[in-house]
Amino acid sequence: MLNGTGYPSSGLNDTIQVTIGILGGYLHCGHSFSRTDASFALLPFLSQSRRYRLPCPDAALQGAFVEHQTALERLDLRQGMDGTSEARRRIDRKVRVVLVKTKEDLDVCHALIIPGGESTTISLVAQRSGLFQPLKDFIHAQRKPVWGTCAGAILLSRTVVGAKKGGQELLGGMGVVIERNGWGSQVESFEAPLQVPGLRDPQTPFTGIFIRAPVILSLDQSSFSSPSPPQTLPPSIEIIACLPSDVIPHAKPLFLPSLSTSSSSSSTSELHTHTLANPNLYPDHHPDPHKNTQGTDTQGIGIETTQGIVALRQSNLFLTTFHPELTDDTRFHEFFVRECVMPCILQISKKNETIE
Amino acid sequence: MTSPASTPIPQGVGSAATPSVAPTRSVQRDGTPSSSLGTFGVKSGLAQMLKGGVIMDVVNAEQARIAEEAGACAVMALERVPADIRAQGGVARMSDPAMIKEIVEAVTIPVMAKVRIGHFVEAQILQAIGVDYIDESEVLTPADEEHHINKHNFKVPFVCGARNLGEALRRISEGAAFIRTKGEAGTGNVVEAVRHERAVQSEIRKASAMSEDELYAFAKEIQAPLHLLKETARLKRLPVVNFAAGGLATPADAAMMMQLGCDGVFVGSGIFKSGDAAKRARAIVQAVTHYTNPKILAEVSENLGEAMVGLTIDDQLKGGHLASRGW
Repeated sequence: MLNGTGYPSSGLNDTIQVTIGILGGYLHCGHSFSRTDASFALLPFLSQSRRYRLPCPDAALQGAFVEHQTALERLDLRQGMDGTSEARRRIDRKVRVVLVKTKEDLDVCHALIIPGGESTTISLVAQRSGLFQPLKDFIHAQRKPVWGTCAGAILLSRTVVGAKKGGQELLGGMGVVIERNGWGSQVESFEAPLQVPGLRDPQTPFTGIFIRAPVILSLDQSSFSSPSPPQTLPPSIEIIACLPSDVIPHAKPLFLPSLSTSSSSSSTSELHTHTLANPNLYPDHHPDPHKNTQGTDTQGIGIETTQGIVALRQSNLFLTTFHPELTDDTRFHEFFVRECVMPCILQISKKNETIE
Repeated sequence: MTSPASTPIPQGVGSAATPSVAPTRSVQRDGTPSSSLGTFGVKSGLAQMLKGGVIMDVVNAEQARIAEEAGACAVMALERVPADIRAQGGVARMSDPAMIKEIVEAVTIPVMAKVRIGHFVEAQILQAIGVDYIDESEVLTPADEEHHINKHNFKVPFVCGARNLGEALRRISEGAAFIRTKGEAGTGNVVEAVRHERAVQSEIRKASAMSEDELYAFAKEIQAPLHLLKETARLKRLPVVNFAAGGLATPADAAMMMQLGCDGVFVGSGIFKSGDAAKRARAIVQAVTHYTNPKILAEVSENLGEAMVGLTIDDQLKGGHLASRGW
């Protein structure tokens, strides 16, 4: 039963089960990572949208979704919530994970993760499976929370540089210009410790795994690509994480002419330090970046200072150019659920209450 | 750092990133690594990103573009596809770097290239020109009849072929971040790939039911490093991504290998030795996506034109049994 909000309506005392979709998904029979516990449902590729709990679904889009699934299933949603709050009572402890291969799968999701993989392949396969337009609606019309990692981040960007010949289809949504394989080929793939103030336990660095990762070339908040009502300004971009300036791998000459003139150290394979000279860029200069969601913390960040940005958020959309799912650390998954998904769900459930 | 004790256990699905023995480039002045290139995490991580995809053999930029448009998740750049190597004979070597570079320029997806077994200098060359993955392949003529390349010494990740669990784990202990079945390349005959995948799966099932005492004996029997065998038994799968390769020619072949438990497939001669390469390439990508849906498999298998010529695998096989190369 669906109401106007597109979410299954919940009565006043029903528990809300947070459902997060992961684009793609396949599991093999007998593999250690196939789960059949009660919190996990698969909606396989079947015309009659009956619900199955089978270890063998029918389709696989391309990419690394099992890792995301494992991370999401480890989260405890009630942890850290106010012990007496109404929300805590009503939110189911476990996230329900749906592997999204069809429009029907997508319709039951509160939020979506687009995993890493090859953005060209994911986009082509999504188009052939008839998922592309539903995904666009999910982002632009329904404005539900979406997190893109690596290839997913490329799909969420407004413009891509270094796309395959003839261009490639993007979902769009975030005012970001992104360059595919911006650091170079696989030989330039790297790991780096990230200081992320927005996470739980911010003192512990988060190991960012960058695999043929995209690079954010510029931020553009003025042309949010969704059809938002003219009176509302596009949501501002909030920077969540940056590379420490001393570990920015710099394997190729700078891509911006204005910079290469000012740079004497743009030779290959040298550490590159000056592009992040702007201290405003570092989130740790904002003791509490979440106070700044409507603020101006990205103003003044020119095109030349964006190279080190590896995680950012614009309203309900979230992107990371690295792969939090490849580590055991679930703090980024926690962040996405806490900051992007939960506010959305609580808002919807309040709306439902007033309707009732 | 190549003794088994110091070799990092490669992570499988969802496990932690382990520090690597690979040389790191960026080291802070005080000597603590601040950013590390070529760790096992990023090597096996790229393979994770290829899962559910098709990797296609291509011999020029034009074929690479066809593969990319069909939805290949990576391409394998080589001078002659295995079917030609088999037909023409002679020593098969690494491809011309200029031709590989051309393919790297033409596409945005990862580009792999083959080196001869044990030929570490060919691997150094490929790393220098920036290929994304190296296949230490039995399809080329081996350069060393005893040693494989010490793959820990490279920043670029390696994929290696295997016929059984012992061989797969030996390759992983040498630093391979990605395993494929050997199959019998260039034959268009899937029987060997099936045999190898079934062997790996059945040995994993056997190992995962064993007690620790039995694992010691089993490790000796299959000549696998014990720590990797234990990890495999615990995970109930190989600790790295496992693709099918060698002899796949049709969408049905690809789907069968997926159902047998592979994470994705390599298609070598099967695509560009067939009648309508673009159509067959797309069909195989679709088949890997919808590998358990026979209705869709039927649709994509229609009117694909001529498949590559298949060869029977017997003692008279022209070009010999490639799978027996590697030790």
